[in-house]
Amino acid sequence: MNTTVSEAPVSTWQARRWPQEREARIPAWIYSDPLLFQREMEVFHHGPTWNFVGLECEVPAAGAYKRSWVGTKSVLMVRDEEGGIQVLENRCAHRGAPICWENKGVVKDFTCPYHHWNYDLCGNLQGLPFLRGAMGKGGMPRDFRKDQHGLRRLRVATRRGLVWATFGDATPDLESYMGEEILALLDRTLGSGRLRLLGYNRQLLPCNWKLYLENSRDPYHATLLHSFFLTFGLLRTDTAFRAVPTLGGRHAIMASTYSAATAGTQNEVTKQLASLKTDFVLQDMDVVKPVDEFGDSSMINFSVLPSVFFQQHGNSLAIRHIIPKSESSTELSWTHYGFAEDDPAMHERRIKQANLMGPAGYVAVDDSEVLAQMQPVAESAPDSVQVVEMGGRDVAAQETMVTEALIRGFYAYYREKMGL
Amino acid sequence: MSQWHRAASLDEMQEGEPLAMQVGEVALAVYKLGCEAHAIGDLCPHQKDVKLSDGFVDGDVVECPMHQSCFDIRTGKVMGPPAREDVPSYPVKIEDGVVYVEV
Amino acid sequence: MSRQDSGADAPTRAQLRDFYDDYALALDDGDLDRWTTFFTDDCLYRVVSRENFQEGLPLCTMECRGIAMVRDRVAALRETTVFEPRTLRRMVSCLRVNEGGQGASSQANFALYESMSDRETHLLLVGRYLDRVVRQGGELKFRERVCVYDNYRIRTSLVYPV
Repeated sequence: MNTTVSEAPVSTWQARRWPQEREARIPAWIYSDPLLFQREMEVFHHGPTWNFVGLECEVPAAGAYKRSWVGTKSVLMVRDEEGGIQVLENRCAHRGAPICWENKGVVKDFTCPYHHWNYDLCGNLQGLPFLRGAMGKGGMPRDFRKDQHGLRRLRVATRRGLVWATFGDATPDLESYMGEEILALLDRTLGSGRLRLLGYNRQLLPCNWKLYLENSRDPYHATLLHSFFLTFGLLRTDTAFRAVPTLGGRHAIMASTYSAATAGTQNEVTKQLASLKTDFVLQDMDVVKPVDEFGDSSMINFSVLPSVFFQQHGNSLAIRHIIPKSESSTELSWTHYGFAEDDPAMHERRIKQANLMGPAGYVAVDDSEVLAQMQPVAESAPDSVQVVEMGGRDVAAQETMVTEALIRGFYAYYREKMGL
Repeated sequence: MSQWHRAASLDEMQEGEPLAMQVGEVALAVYKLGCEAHAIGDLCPHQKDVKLSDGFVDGDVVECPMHQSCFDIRTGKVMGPPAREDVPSYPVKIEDGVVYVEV
Repeated sequence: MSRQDSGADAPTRAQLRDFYDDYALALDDGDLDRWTTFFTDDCLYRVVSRENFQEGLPLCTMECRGIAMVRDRVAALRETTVFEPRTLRRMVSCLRVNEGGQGASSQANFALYESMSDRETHLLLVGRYLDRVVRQGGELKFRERVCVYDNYRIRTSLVYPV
């Protein structure tokens, strides 16, 4: 069982104080303290939060499973015999070995490779070798009860084809955890819920998970770092934009409207920006000519604490799963999807536009590279302090890309939950 | 082409101690129940390299030693998971106190 | 892909070996313009994880359908991508020539080593090429090059073509 914070060795982080400017500042020690990292896992990923696990369409048949992560814990998303979804911790109740060593499969039940303890699809312990001993010797004590030694089951919620799970007993229901605005956006982006899996991209970022989360709540950098966006009118400085923190900074929404008529072109202010490359034209413009499939001329991306970012870039739809590995290492796993209703043209569009995303993405590489550079610097200067005052010092919603309100919002929420 | 094979004399057999037999490729075991004998396939359908006859016999039920799947000794019917298939049941006759199994 | 190589045009093993090495060296030298000349106009270039490939999933890490997208990848890399400078070196081995049919006409293993300016070299990507090579105007070209990488995940980013 976990020791409580008061019993654990006193960590440096507990003796530290957040700068007095509160969420307008970020102290660098939060990116490198290993005990702080463990505490974050307890509070956020393994605590009373809803975590993205996978898509229902990844486990279509009874006995189908997919291995995934909630925080640093390996979990199995399983389709049970009644057609429901189970999420089980991938850790044998016996000695703690992982019972499943593959990413996907179809099984009748799970048998741990070590001592062959056997569990049904809901994680109940069905059998174990030599329960009664062998040749009259050994065996488990007579009062051993299998029903007390099953796999740990997470609470599961599914909505529009997505599977969420929580370790927390006190986690509120999914709808309350998301809040109205995020729920509406989930329903928008998941549409009919008849999702079609297009595939995965995965990368290992040598940085703290919060650096990626902040990056995904930082519209300020979008037109500066990502000159691809700017050059092809995917973002323009005159784009109507809303940056909205929700539920006290727990989640964040970045919503922009674009015009299919002007996509691929720049306005005058854009043309003055240093990151613009005026000589650069694409030979195949399909990657920057999205179709307004949601019928609202909007590109809406949103970040759901603790571990997932919903991407809509043109017609490239993806779920980015932030999987922390250590205080200095994070796996970023992209699940790209479309809909069963997609016609071949839309399917091709999604695949082509995916070139902007992922570990080789025209846009996404910029983020990976910058974050990889930041981590060692943060580690070398833990007492240094970052300034996040763009757009002011508060955490109210703003109608501009040029704001760090969403980052401030996250840290207001973070500090409250972490007691910092 | 099935044949009758000699198992053992009924008096030599003990309840709760099945007799494992191999007839060609078929692994089976013979169980004594009172003055009757029954024969069922010996390899557990759940994990096929495990012999039911190494398991625990409780009345007319045999429990696989590996994951405790239970089978009806008289019929070979599976009684619960993790195994999901029955084991075959073989005809038995007793002549002059000797048990024979037809395979 | 209905055109088949005729027996007379089929490249020899030695020619293929040279062609594969030329490709690797062009990229190792950073000659991205020359890289684009290795492909036919109607080419398909893909860099895809084994995970996606084995499941038959369409998403790739890089995908160029046609020479225009191949050139665009070079242009984006040159003009807009922000990344730490690095050197990549490619090891190509186990060339196998397949006998016609619908599958790859040839294949080989690859390993990419990545060296940054201030830390140790590491293995970035390893996998195999599955190719369709044709002869055009006396030269060999890739009509199709699918780079299936074994890595479960990519270390930070994949900046250059494979």
